Amino acid sequence: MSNKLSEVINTLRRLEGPLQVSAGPEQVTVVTAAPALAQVCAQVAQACDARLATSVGCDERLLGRGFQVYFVFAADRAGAFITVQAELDENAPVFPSLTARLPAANWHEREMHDLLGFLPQGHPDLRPLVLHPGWPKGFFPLRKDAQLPPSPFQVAGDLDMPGVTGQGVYQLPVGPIHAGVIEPGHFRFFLDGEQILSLEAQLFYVHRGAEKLIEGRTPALALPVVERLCATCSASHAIGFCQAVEALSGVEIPPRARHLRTLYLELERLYNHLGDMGNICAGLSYHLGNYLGASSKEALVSLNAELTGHRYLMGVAALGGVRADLPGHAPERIRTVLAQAYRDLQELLSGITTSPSVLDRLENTGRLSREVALELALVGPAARASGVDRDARRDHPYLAYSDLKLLVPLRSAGDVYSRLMVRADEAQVSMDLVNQLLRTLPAGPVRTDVPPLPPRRQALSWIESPRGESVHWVQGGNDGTIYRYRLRSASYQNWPAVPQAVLGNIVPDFPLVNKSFELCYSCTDR
Amino acid sequence: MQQLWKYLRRGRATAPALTPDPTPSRGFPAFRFDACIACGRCAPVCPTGVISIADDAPALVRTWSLDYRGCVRCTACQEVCPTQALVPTHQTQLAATSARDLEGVARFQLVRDQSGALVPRRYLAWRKETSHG
Ligand code: SF4
Ligand code: SF4
Repeated sequence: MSNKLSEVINTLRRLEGPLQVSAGPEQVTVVTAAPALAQVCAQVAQACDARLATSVGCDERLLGRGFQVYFVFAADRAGAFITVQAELDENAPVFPSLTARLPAANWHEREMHDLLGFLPQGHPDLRPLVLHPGWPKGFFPLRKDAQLPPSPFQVAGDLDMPGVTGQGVYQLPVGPIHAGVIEPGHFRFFLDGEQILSLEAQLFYVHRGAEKLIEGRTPALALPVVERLCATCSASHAIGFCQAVEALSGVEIPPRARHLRTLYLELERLYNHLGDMGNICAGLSYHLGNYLGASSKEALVSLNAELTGHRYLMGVAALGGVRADLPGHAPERIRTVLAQAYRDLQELLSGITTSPSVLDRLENTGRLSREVALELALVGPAARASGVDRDARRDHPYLAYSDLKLLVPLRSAGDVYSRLMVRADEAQVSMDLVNQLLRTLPAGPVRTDVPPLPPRRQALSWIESPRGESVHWVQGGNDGTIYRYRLRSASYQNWPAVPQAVLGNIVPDFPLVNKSFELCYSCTDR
Repeated sequence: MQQLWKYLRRGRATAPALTPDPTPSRGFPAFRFDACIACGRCAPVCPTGVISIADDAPALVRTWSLDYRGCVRCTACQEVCPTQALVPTHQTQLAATSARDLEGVARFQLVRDQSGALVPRRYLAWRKETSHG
């Protein structure tokens, strides 16, 4: 056990209140009573310099444990995850809300309220988050005894959007159906002339009930579902899920599989970052940049297809390793394609940095301060562009990352330009990582057997997806199937930052700001 | 002008589809009915549940079917098949004029073994109206 981790444990042991502390590798669990939950969480966050990483509400009545809530904190400097757990009263599942003290808990608590009927008492804004108007009262889909109503619901009523009122202030509704082929989301702007005074976003139009669907499946049957939570981070999702299952079953994957998974994750980051840079250019009508980004992305997803049979890397991960080894000519092909991608990236960057009209749109647009980024516990490029030095690959190393030389690029301005440049820098780091991986690829098998899930235990895994850290939480049931699964994707954590970043900007810059975060609706919603 | 010339010279970014395709096969599985022993191992591993095995005991017929409309090309069925009756292809497109065309159905004759259990003996018929087999 590392010194830092024992420091964390000692700190936790000194905290006040009714709690028990127990520790495993890289993870500490604090069990407390429901009424003390908010206070204990705030103490943990403060004493251990930890941020909210994920939360899970769970109906464990079939495991003989009642309703449980888990708030998971990440202490990045100590490299530890701390779970604060409390059991709620079955008849009155109430706990004190964390949101006033930890704003990052806002969505997490609203989601528990919507889907499980847990009441975070004192929450400042308990409007439905996941559920839309027309959803029957008292029907909580993630409870184990939820019965599907006989007929589909009618969506009725208007959305409740507080916003801003005043003389000359008007509303501009955008979406949920957009002109481009993008995902659905409703954005309501409150404007004074062109200036955005407030933005309310209603997302969760693509709720597929994936977490419910996964309950009762074996990990092997759940994997294809997790992988399809969204297409742009499918390798991250699949590998993150496999890691959680392997942690639960105590399986160590072979070294070659570890390297190959890391390789696929970096290839995924690369095609996303280059494509996203192109998308940002599209957001400001810099068409040449858009096409350069798109053609790089095309070359990289074609490479994915050539290596794995799938452009978006679906089906590459398997429980216990990867599904298949790389074809023999792979290293050479990867090097060639990456060399070209590097040249394209330089060209794209020189186009951007030498064009005053492009820079004018990028700089100072959609500024997000470091304070807000910290308050909302942002992750990924969005956090790093606002000066928050946080990367799960370095802070909580997994797979082969501890064997690699990894630089974490950082910018501080928090504007669209910074988010673009963080991606550009990270893309180059990824190219370097891929080259390091190819040089050190160990020989041997790529897959090992995974025994059935042990009953009534849970495990956590984390993965730095292209959009930032995602956290997977898996719990085994009584019969080797999954009892509860939750994905807190990077997009879920970062969405609340978008309405903050657009404040004071003008409407035409919204698409640009939105694209600079490049958040996914699909894995946010699940 | 120079820039424009440079971009024109780059040519097309999208590569033509290669035939035969050298990439790993991740298309719809093709079914080789003559290799299938109707063991039923493929049905429970299919994450979307599109492979089904059903016995008609009085008629002594076992029916195997695959509805390609729900296949997500995960290769799980091919990994468990003991006889390579399900084989990988490069076919990734679904287009048909009728839903029936996207289903493969095979029938097997059943016999009773000494213990009285029904076991498949030989295949009787195979309806392959799909272009994916
Ligand atoms: S490839 Fe996967 S989805 Fe398709 S039939 Fe086989 S098991 Fe089912
Ligand atoms: S296709 Fe293969 S696994 Fe499926 S029933 Fe036939 S022999 Fe068994």
